[in-house]
Amino acid sequence: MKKRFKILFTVFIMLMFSSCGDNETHVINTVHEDGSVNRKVTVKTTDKKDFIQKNSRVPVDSTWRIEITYDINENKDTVWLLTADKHFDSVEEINEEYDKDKGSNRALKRSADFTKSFKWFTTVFRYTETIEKVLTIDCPMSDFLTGEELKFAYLPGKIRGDLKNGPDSVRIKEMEERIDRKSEEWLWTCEFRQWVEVFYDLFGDNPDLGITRDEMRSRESEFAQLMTGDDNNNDEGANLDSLFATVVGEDFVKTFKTEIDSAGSVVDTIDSPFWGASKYDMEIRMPGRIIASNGYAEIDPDSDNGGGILWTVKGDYFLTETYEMWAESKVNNYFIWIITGLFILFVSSGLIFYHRKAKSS
Amino acid sequence: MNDDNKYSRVIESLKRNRPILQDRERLTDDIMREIKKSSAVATLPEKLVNYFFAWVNNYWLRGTMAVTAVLFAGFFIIQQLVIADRLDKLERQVVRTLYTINDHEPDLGINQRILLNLVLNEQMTEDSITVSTSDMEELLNYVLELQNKYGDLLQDAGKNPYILKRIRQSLEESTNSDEI
Repeated sequence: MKKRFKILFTVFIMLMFSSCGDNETHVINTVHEDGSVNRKVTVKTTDKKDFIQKNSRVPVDSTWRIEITYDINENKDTVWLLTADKHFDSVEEINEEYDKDKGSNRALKRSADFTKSFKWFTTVFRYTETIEKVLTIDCPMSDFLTGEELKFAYLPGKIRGDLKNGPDSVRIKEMEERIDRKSEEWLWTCEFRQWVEVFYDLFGDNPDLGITRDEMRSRESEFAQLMTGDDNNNDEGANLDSLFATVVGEDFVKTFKTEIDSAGSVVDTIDSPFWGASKYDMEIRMPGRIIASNGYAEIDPDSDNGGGILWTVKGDYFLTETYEMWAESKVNNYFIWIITGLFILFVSSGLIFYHRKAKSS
Repeated sequence: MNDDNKYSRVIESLKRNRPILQDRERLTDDIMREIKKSSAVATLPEKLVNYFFAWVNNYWLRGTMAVTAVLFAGFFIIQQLVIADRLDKLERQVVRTLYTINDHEPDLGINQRILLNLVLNEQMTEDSITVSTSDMEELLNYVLELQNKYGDLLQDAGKNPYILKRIRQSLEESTNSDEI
């Protein structure tokens, strides 16, 4: 258990740093009416190693048209820019690439979907990118964050950055700190809840346990508070066993050490896609006019990437809930408009003709 | 002989009690119109109209066509309203990211809000200042004008990366020299 939490802490700290790192991966999906998709991936980094396939956050291989350029930023560092694009005839081809992915996010279960529905006067297109949830338990972020905090937590990094530098920056920064604090609490609650489920699924039949599943579950908030407490900040994992023992009881830890570690290993396997996930931005551009989406509109008119709907993909979003990025657009079927208009005119004329005839006779 | 007398009496009686016509002229007109109608030959357009609108003489067909037309019109209106509503929600999603400006100036258009947000962001990274509404409007106009000019300049440059880079360098140099 101790070793496990040491690793988790290290990875968590790494994740926090990596989220502020200089690898900016941006994926633009330009969807066409026939369901084909032009995918463009741009990776901006100061470390050229990020271009190696195993470090790629989205699948990019030799079948893509790749261009690498560089520039010097304001700190006189070399900034490398990789631009890769590929045309996919259908979303199935994208899904095949996801299945064969060898990049840093290969453990994620990602898929794309496209539907086209004829709705007489309009044709509606829907494009979805889905990332399956990692943990098997239910532990929604909404149980920990308020509505406003939740909205802010889901904002793409770019828009969040704009807000942080905006006129209400003090309030925004304070809210971000609050969200970070609550997110950490949520994260440890999820981990503990998952561990409880696995532990009791595997060893729940043992008559010597002494603590029921529900009793153990009720201790999750205590565990999360201990893990996120100020006293724990300078800890190097030395008292993690004692923290765990404080929550579940020392006797329990001593008696079921092997079982606890086994359950911990299973949880490690389950949540490894989360800990290994690397952040990137997703943009979807739809044919026709976008009518609905759960993303955010690009607001920077100077951006080369303008015109699409934005999302950020990061571990928090799909740890306990399936993360779906979708956009719907419509194209007017003007031919149908004309046909229907003529039909209505024909019927109206017929009725007028009938009434005149009836009147005259 | 008796029968003859009987008939004669009936005829005499009918002659004595002739029906009184209320509108003799109308009766004449109706009779004349019916005679004309039966003798007149329909023209080609009339035949076509009669052919196309033959369905109106059938009660069920007339009703079905009318209902279908109304349904089509209704469906069109509802569909457009639903789309407008969804677009409105989508627009609010954009506005939500700029809510701080929205709270202060609810009448501002979305483009102005975006622009204002960008302008304010630039300012806040450097300093915190108070600007009057008229000054801000003037500033917005200048920014819009500059953006248009910049767009034209990029278009003229033919989007050649080398030329663009040189233009940017030149602009930066001129900005730096202005600041000095």
